[in-house]
Amino acid sequence: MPGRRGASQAIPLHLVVVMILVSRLIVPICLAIFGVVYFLEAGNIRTLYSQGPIGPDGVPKMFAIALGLALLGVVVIELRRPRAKAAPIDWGGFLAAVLVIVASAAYVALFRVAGYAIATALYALVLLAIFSRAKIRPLAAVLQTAGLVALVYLFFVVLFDVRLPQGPSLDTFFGQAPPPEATPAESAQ
Amino acid sequence: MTYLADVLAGSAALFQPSVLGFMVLGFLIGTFFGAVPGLTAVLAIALLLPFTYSLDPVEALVMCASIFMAGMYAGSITATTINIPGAPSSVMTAVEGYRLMQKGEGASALGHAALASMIGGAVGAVLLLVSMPITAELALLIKTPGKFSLILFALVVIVVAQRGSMTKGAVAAIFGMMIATIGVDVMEPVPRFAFGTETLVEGINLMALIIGTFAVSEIMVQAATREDPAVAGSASVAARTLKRRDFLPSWREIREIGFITYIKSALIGYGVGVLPGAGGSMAAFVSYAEAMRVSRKSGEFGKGSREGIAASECANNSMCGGAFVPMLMFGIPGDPTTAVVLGVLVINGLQPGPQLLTNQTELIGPLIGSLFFSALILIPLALFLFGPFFIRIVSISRPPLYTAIALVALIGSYVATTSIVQMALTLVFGVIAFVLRLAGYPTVTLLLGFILGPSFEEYLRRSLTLSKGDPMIFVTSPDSLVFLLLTVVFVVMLTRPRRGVGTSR
Repeated sequence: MPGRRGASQAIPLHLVVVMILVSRLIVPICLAIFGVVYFLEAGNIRTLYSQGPIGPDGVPKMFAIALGLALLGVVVIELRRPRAKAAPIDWGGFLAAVLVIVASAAYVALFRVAGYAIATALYALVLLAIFSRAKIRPLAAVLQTAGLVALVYLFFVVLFDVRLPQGPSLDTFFGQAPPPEATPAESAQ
Repeated sequence: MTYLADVLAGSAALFQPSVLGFMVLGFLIGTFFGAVPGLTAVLAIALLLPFTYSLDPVEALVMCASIFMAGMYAGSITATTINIPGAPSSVMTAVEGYRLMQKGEGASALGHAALASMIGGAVGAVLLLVSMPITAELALLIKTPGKFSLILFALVVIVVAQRGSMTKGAVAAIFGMMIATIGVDVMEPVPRFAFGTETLVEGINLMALIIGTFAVSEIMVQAATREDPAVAGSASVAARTLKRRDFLPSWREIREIGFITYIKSALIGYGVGVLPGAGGSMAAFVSYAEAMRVSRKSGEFGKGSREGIAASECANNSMCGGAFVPMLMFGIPGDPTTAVVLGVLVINGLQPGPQLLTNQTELIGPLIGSLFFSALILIPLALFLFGPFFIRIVSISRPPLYTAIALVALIGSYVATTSIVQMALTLVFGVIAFVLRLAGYPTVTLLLGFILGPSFEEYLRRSLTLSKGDPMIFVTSPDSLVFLLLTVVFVVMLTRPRRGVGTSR
């Protein structure tokens, strides 16, 4: 945006370099942890009967070792890359992506509990706000939300004859299992 | 001849109103997703995956083939008009086409792109039709060690094709293979990595992985990307300057390009398509480089060469036919789109293999027919009827567009199994894919590793069981040796330094 200063201009360059280095290594570190857990869990796989020289645990262990070697290659290459001048980090964009993740997680959690209409309307409203960087006018947001909820309903329910969760019931609010959805045969009766 | 007769008879299903309707719908969807930067044909098919449950397999495959062909062509639209390739395979078209646009010859460039896509797509479909029986015969000759080496060849090529990020490609592929081991063992009824949960015993659902990796992660990437307001402005200007009468390429220009260029580009594209994981961008680039190498007007390349556009677009659309060969015969996707189409086959209970030619010609015929008719008829029709409107596609407002995609993706992942767990898994894979993409890991190799992992393990273990643990079986078995040697050849070919291609602006 014109006139807006990038957030990274307020952060010392050496810290930005450290942060970029960490981000370059965070994924390899996380994958390495996954690989170690995976390898250890592979050791718990029990075979029912001997069927060849490699059992159910053999290939997973090979994969884990291969992953470790490949990650080593990634780390070596990343550390040897010249430290180019750090580009400004778009913290706004990163935050927007995080908000999408949080909103999506909330949507999944609410989908069956609150029902399609309520959960989807809230989710759509939040996403519209995120993608428009909160610049969307309230009326436009409401209209677009209503339109999207209706359109997606038409698409799934009317066009493809799919059942979506209905609104919340008292049972779900009081911690009981949500009522089972009627099968098409039951609905037809 | 029986095969040809059966396939041609099967393709008559294409003229049933519902099947024809899905072909046209798929073409329009593919054009939209192919033209808008950030959206891809892969994303379109991934979003439609849950709906294939309620579709007839013929309709689903016809629509997917049409989306594939349209998506590959549509990338040239914004590549030419506003210098933003709608698809990675249109990068070279952007180099040449935008130069012509700047000279006031944008309509001509679009016309040449459409013509080349027509020719390439049609030739690719015909080559697919005639090569299937030969490939099926070859497939029957490959024994277990050969199958392992073929899959190893595919995985190595997929990784090596990620030039500039091979180690990250290897990590992503291995990670995908590891995820695929979650569930029941491929040879014994033994649960692996289930941690005592019923959900994980069933394994990771392919649909959750596909939708999460391609659709949900894309939403997060787009959320993190600031919209460029200049793009919409450029699109509006471009749309106003294009006239339909200028779309038709002149006979003189076509002769200057030469039919040899078209045919050679189509063959290159088809050949690259057969290679696992290679994709349209490699097909376009290899063909472009070859055309520049032999052209009498090589000096025009990089400055608005119609020959460059023809070579690039002809190859990337011909690739569509080639990519189906390994997918249909071996279950090895030729490119990311066919990886998702493989999911359509699996969801409908269809197994790739030579038996498709004998038992399922009613599927093969319409599929090939859809590729052929989409290329030969729908591409020119779409350009002439809707050409200027396509360019305005990029002006579509991002917030409602990506909100709609997010809704279709997440709800789609729910409807196929009515499982909140699958919906949650889709989101989890979306987050994982987003983080991997941020860090430069190719998520396509993750998906291909997931798809090929089980077969890799099964054929490895079976081969070693047959040889009582002797690994030399992979060398002494002739079919296996051939694929191992091919692996070495392609590694050398794909890793040698590439001669610079003119990209002067």
